[in-house]
Amino acid sequence: MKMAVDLAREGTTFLEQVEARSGEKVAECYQCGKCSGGCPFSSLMDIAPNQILEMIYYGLEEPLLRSRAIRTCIGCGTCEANCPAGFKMYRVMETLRHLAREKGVEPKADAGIVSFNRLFLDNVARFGRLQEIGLALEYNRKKGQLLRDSAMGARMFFKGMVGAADLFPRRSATAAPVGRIFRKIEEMEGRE
Amino acid sequence: MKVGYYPGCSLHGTGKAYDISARTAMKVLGVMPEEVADWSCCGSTPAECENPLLSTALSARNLALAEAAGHEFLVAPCAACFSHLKKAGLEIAGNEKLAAKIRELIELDYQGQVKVLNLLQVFVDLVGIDALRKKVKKPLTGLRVVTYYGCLLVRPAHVAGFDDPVNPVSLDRIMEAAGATVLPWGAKTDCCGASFTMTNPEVVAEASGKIMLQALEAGADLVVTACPMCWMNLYRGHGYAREHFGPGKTMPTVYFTELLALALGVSPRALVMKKHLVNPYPVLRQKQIV
Repeated sequence: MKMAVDLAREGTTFLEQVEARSGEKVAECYQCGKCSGGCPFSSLMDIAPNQILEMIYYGLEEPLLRSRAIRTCIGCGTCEANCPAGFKMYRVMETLRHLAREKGVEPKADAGIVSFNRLFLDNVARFGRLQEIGLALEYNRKKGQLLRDSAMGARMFFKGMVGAADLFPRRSATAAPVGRIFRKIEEMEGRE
Repeated sequence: MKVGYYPGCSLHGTGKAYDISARTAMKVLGVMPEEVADWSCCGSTPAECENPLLSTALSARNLALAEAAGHEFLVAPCAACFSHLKKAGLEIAGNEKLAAKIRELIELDYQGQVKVLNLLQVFVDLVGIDALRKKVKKPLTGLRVVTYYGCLLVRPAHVAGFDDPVNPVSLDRIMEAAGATVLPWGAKTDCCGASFTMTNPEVVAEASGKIMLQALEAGADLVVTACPMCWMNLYRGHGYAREHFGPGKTMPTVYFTELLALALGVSPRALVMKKHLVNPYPVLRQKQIV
């Protein structure tokens, strides 16, 4: 007799997906919380790292993929250094970010992190090498806070750390091949 | 010996003082840095967060260029560049499918023959502490420093593959060999706030401010760093420390290569220490180092 209920096949639950892609045994975390305690940015996160592990266990996919927390992790690895089980929590964060991206899930609020990342990458795609000052000015202009870092900027200028040339970024010889990497990745992902 | 040199975007921008002192100190010790022609941005944290394939491709392009130039070692002074370049090499190694994809993207061959080194490894492993000590002409006697490593130089541990992820000592050994007094402190590998310097400067100010406070409590004259991003963020911390703990509650942050170059007998004029946001000259004069 065929079963009427279609049970999830092995390897298809959210927990199993995350475990397979991150290589970390999420279900084995015993919730000591040292990853969250050591994380330099857990105060910026809407969900703490140890809570994230618990939520994966319970299959709470949507709130996790929309969370600010997964976009806040910069992969510094303090969680791994603190974990008594040697767990690479940042790998789990990375996996969640990649799943969110593949599924087209946008963050509910990202404190400017995602938009900054994209501006940064646009700058690299255009110039081949990052134009730090150009990026800072563009980010602050887009956020309507052009004067925010003006004191620090003025000090850098005064000290000769940055010059007038930095305000007019130039394309390096590497701009063309780097631009092609960006375009080819877009094409590749369009094909998949 | 010759090594490939990957300055990265910051060392061509706000981190010029690091670039100049790093090249100078290496040359005095017989390591000749050859800048990789046509290098491009490693993609840093934004690429890693946004798109793993992009991140690997942007970094791998530089590995391939260094390999084509015949370099065995590629030296990346910036902690973030070091971490991302090295991670890309590790991901490609043993994954032929990814390697083929990367070759198609970067339009270059890459056989995985280049070893990525950070600058501490150059002095500890290529030069050696004993050889370095013998070349010290003006020891930094009486200068009390705390060594600040931050995150990506030593973590994630399997990427850095170097020193200890929580209590590293390689920079301590270098500074001791240069004659400085290295003080024990607890913020060696605390995070400075990294790329949140643009999006959440108040978070960076607090994280770095607490690092500055610990340096003060340790009784240091200077904080010594090995990363242009940490250096920038510690300046935000400098402001925070002054605001929250009172005037005078702060100290300059310098690159370790600047102190090393001075100890090796390089003239301060050959460096650009005046470009520091917090002037280190008063304390260096007081200790009769410059």
